[in-house]
Amino acid sequence: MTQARDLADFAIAGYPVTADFFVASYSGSVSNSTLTFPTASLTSSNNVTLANNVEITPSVAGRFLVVFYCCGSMTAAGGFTPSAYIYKNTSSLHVVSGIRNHTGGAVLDWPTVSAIVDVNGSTDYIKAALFTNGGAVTLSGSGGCTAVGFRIDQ
Amino acid sequence: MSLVSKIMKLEPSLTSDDFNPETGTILVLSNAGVEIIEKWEHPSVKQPSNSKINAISDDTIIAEEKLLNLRAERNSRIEETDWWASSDLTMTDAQKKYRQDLRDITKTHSSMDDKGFAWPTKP
Repeated sequence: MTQARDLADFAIAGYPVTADFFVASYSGSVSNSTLTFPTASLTSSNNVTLANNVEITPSVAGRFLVVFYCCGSMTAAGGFTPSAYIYKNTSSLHVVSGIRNHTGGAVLDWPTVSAIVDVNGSTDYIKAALFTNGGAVTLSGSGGCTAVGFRIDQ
Repeated sequence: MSLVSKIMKLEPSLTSDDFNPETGTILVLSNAGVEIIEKWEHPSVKQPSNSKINAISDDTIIAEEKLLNLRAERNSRIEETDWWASSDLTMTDAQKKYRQDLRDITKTHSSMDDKGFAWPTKP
C-alpha cells in the first residue's frame, strides 16, 4: 500500500520545513575606488523584505547562508583588484579579493563571497558591497549580479 | 559621476590605494547610487571642500575617463604585437605603420565613442 507523504515527513529536527530565503539581483554601476552598495531588488523571497534599496531584512530570526557573486562590463584595461563584501548591518562580515587582468572591452568579474549571517529577525539586515581600484563598471543585472540567502537554522 | 575621480583630480598625489576600504585612509561610499565621503584620515592631504569638488563638472571627468580608456585599450593592442619587435624578427613596413598608427591615435581621437573612430587594421 502506498502511503501519502508530505514535506514534513522529510524534515530533519532543527531544519525548517518552509524555506526562508531570498534571491536578489543588483543593478547600477561601481565607480573607481568607491565602496559601493549597489541597488538591490528581490527577485524572489520568503519572509524577507528590502529596505532603503540595499538592506535585505529577514523577518525570521536565524542564520542565513549567503552567497554573493557579481560581474559587470567595463572598457578600461589593467590588472585590477576587485573585492566583494557581505555586510551585516554596518559591519563587513567577509570580503574576498581577486585580481583580474582585464584586457579591455569585456567583463570584470568579482570573486564569489559567502558568509553565514546571524540575524535577529527584526532590525538586522544583510547587504552586499563591491569595490575595484579600476575604472567605472556597469553591473550586469539579473543573473550577472546576484545574492542568494537561505536560512539554515534558528 | 565618480566622487573619487574628482577628488583625485583635485589632489593628484592620491592613488587608488588611498581609497582601499581595508588599508586606505579615505573611504568613499556609494549607497544605492549616492556617493559620500565616509572617512578622511589621510596624514598629509586635507579633505577638499564640497564647493571645490562640485566645481569640477561631470563632463570633464567623463572626457578624461574616456581618454584613459582609449589609451589603455591602445596600449593593450600595442602590447599584443610586441613580439613583432623581437631581435630575431624583422618588422614589415605594414607592421611598423600599424604600431605607429596606434601610437598616433590619440592625436586625432580622445574617445572610442568619437564619430568615425576606428582602430587601425592589423596587417
